[in-house]
Amino acid sequence: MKGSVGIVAVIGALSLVVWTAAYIFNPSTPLTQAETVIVVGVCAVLVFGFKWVVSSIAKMRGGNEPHS
Amino acid sequence: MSRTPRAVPVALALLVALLASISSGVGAGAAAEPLPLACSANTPTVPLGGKVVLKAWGRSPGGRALRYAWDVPVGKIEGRGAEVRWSLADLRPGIFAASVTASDGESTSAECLIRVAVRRDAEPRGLSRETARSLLSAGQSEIAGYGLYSYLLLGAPPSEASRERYLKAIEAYLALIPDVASLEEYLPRGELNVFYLPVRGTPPSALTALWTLDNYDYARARSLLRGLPEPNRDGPYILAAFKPVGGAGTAGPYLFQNLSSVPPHLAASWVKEFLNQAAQERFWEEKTAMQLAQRMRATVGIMGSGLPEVKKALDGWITWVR
Repeated sequence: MKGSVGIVAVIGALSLVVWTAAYIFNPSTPLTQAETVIVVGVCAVLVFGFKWVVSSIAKMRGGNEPHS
Repeated sequence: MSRTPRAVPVALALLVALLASISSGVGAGAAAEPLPLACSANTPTVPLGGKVVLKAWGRSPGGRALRYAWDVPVGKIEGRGAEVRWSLADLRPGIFAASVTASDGESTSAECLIRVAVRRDAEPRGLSRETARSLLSAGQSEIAGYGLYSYLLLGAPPSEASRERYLKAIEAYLALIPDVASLEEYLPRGELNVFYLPVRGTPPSALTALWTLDNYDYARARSLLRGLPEPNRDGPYILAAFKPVGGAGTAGPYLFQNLSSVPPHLAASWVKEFLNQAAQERFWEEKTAMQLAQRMRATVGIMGSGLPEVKKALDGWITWVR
């Protein structure tokens, strides 16, 4: 539960940074609601992908450790 | 007996060499004789952004025409010959030197140095430059004599997103800045920063932001923005210079503020910041800390307007996944 709240917060923060950058670079056409949904989805994929890669690396390292 | 015939040619050679060296030494001395040259500035000190007239007086012994070569490490030399103008427009207070040499084609003078101090004058009566607004009708030229010329420029007609920003900037322009006619009753033109807004049509007696936006002269704004490095097709922009800005660009130092990405509710604070900036003696030097604070405030403002959008999208995704 704690972890999922953190992930949602990271996805939200990342999406907000992208939204702000898009606004600064093109202030006359900020992202629409539909475009924002896509940005949030892409950010979610990136965050979950990153989490999966990190956990895979951790598992690989754990599996290579010598057993007593 | 046998040494004498050998000694004679050696002695002769030595004598010839001695004479040659003496004669060449005399010749070199004559060539190295520098032309007499004096130089002076018409004033030892100039105010910030000022110009000084430099003069040189040389004389060729043979009566030949002299050519003067001026050299300055900073600023710009205008003109040529014995009398030139030295523009010190972009310099801070301090002492600066110019040098000049004269040549008549055969000999050259020694370098003559002129030192000029750039001084920071106290503002008259301790007052800063005051900004006054004026509409600039189509075909009307800027009035001469103001201390500074500023323009509120819109790079293109408003989009749905930029319309509110344009309106808020114009509202701030109309509300915060007194009319030029009323300020001229109390202040001389030289102490005023006239802030123009180009329009088409005759303004009504009660001027509103909506009328101003609907009658904005985008063609004139484009012609004023043309001389700047970026395409600047959003806006609002604020441009300020010592002289009226022509199509060929701005001459001398200028200030350019881009309010394109400023959230509409912060447009007034940026207009206020410009008024403070224009009041400075060196108006074109942006106050870094203040600018940074303004930009941070603008970024927080943008994030504030983006937060509900992102939250709504995030909630949508969470509902869909569940």
